Amino acid sequence: MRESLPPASDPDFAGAVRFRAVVRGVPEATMVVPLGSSGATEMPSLAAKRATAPEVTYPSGIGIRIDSSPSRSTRPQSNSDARQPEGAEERPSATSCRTAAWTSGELARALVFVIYITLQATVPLRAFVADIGHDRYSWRMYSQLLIHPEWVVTLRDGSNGSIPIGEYSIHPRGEIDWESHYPAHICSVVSGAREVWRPATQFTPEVHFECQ
Amino acid sequence: MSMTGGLREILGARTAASPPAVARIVIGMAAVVKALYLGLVILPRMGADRIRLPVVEWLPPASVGLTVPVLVVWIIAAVCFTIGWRTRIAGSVLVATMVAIQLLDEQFYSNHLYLHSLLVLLLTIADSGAMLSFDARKHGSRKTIPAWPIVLCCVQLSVVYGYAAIAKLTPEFLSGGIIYEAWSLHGLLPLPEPLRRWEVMAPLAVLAFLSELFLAFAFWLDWLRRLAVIVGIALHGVIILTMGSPVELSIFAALMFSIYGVFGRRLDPPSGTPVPARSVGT
Repeated sequence: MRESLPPASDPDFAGAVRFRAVVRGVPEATMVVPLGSSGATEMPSLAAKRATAPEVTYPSGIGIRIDSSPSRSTRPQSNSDARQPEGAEERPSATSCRTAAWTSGELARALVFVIYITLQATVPLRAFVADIGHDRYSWRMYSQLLIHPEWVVTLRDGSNGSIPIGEYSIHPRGEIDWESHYPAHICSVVSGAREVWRPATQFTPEVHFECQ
Repeated sequence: MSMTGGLREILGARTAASPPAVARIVIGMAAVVKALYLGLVILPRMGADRIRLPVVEWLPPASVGLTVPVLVVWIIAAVCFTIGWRTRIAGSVLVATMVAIQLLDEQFYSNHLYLHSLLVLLLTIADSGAMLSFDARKHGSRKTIPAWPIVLCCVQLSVVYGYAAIAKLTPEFLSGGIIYEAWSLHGLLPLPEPLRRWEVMAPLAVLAFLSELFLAFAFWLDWLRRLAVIVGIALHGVIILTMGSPVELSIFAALMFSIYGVFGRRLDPPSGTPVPARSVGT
């Protein structure tokens, strides 16, 4: 008499060892010993092999997968996919064992995780929506020309002098609104300055600033 | 699996501690170099006649007297972070000094520094001092650490490459004009005369765009990961040689390379999670 067994192709038994034995009066019997169910049923040689098994990466798919047992890679990814013998109770998986309510620690981690991804995905979009050439936190490295036309200062005696952006700045970044800050600063550091202006270019508008 | 179920599994999962530990060492050393570079390049430009643009109004204007102590603390914290001595405290202090520098003046911001502070933050949260560190020698090393901050590191890499690629979808970049200007004016390698043509520069620009777009996705696919590493090394090598600011761009490359190593690692469930059992003979 043969025991009722799931077919040999059942992927849910990929981590099990099949024994065949001849028993008196029974031409052939098969016993299935699941690996990992308890230490006593595990074959020592296999246990040692598992302990020394090298770390593996997933053969395909998007690198993030949860592995719950050494044979998981050959198993279906969810319980609903696994074929169960008729009458057998559905076994809990590693996932369904953790269906308790979320702890505060888990919630905090989830919040940080989701907020981080949301910010990283949405903040750079601001630069595209607003069509900002250089923008902080937007990862727009070397995508725009960085043009700093020279400023011109007119002194009270009527003479003019050109002032490059690097003359009175620490680091002339492209994200900075230089039109709002730089003329007033030139007025404060150049003695006798009456007016600071910048001629229009293809990329920048004309700016005039009267010194106080 | 529901979305919350998947999220919960990632949040509870653990991953191998050694790749993040290597990343911590690389990023920590890069932080030391970055601080020294800022000290050598920025401090001499901080004369009284230079404009100050504090990000936060109530902060005092950046001065040498204020910036030097911050950089000193930065370097000490970066060394401790690198060797893994009180790693979490060192990482927290390092992030704080990096943020402080960026808040002191708008002119101190750079995408590379922003990325640097994010990665230090994530590796600090991830307990990257669990291996290859003084902490591990003292308290014993752990083979696994929480996986979710490492997953965020991987997401960060894709965000950086992805948005950098999308931002290059402009006529001025794809024409090759920006590469031409940067290479001819600032490149470590002189731009050879035969290459000073748009027929060469425009395809180079398209190649740069495609490379970054490829890198944004390829690391997530096992079968493309090795090719992605090769493309990444080539891309950053060309950038360092042609775009100017080789020190800053080398630091940027080191940050990205350190993240390459954490991709594709197995995520294990937290210890203590019951493994499904099947009765004998069912």
